[in-house]
Amino acid sequence: MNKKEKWLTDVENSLNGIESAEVSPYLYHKIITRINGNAKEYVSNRFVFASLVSFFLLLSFNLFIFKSLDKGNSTSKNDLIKVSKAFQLVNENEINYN
Amino acid sequence: MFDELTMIKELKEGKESAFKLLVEQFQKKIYNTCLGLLQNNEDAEDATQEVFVIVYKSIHQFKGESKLSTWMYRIAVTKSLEHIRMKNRKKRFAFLQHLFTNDDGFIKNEPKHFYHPGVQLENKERATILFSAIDQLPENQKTAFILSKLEDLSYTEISEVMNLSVSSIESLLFRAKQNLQKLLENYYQKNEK
Repeated sequence: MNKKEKWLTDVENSLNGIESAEVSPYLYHKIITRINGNAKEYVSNRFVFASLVSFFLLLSFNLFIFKSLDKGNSTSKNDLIKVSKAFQLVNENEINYN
Repeated sequence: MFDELTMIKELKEGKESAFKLLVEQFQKKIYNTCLGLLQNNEDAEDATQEVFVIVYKSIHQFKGESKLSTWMYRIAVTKSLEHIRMKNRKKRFAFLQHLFTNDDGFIKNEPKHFYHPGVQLENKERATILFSAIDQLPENQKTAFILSKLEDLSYTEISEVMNLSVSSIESLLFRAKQNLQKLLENYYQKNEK
């Protein structure tokens, strides 16, 4: 084995018998601090889903109400006459002129 | 006694004692994986903390299709690679800034001199050269090599962590060794001759 080959083999084998590096003894506390620090920013998926469902329910409810109001406004002329007659609001003759 | 199923159940219930046990059980493995990939003590500790925060927050998403350790190794690899990409982006940005502003604060992309604390004293210099070569490997080859050489994971375990087939891992490791050989030969030509 020449000098170069020996050097290459030595470098390639330099990680043999490597031991694990030691972790900081405060790691757990640092993790907990990080979790608590981020707690305010964290929004769970369940909360996001519930908010979205509520939003769409509210939106559809509003649309439903608006559509119902629209229908109410387009009451036919006959309905108006019926109501007017029932409550004797208008003279029947007057209505006939129209 | 470490019972994985019980631990997962207790973690999902939010038991702090279970999380403490999890950190104690896996901190060395996760830290050393991050350290091998990042080759920097502070970055490795930061990535390790991030891994455990992610585990704490997303344990509900863990379906138990793989071992807990495999899932955690996967997160550790992903986080470490994200750190590397972010650092590279910062370096590129600093380089561009240097070009346009002639800022003297620009640090040139010099090779790292990483001393792994677990390496035997007589191998320290050689291991530093090897780590510098490992750092120049493509991401996949580097990850497979670190998991195999430093973490002593089997090909099957590495394939599960990296979501690849065993034959792909064999091929990645073969190419990693070939590339390392070339990089070390180049180093020898320049420095040791």
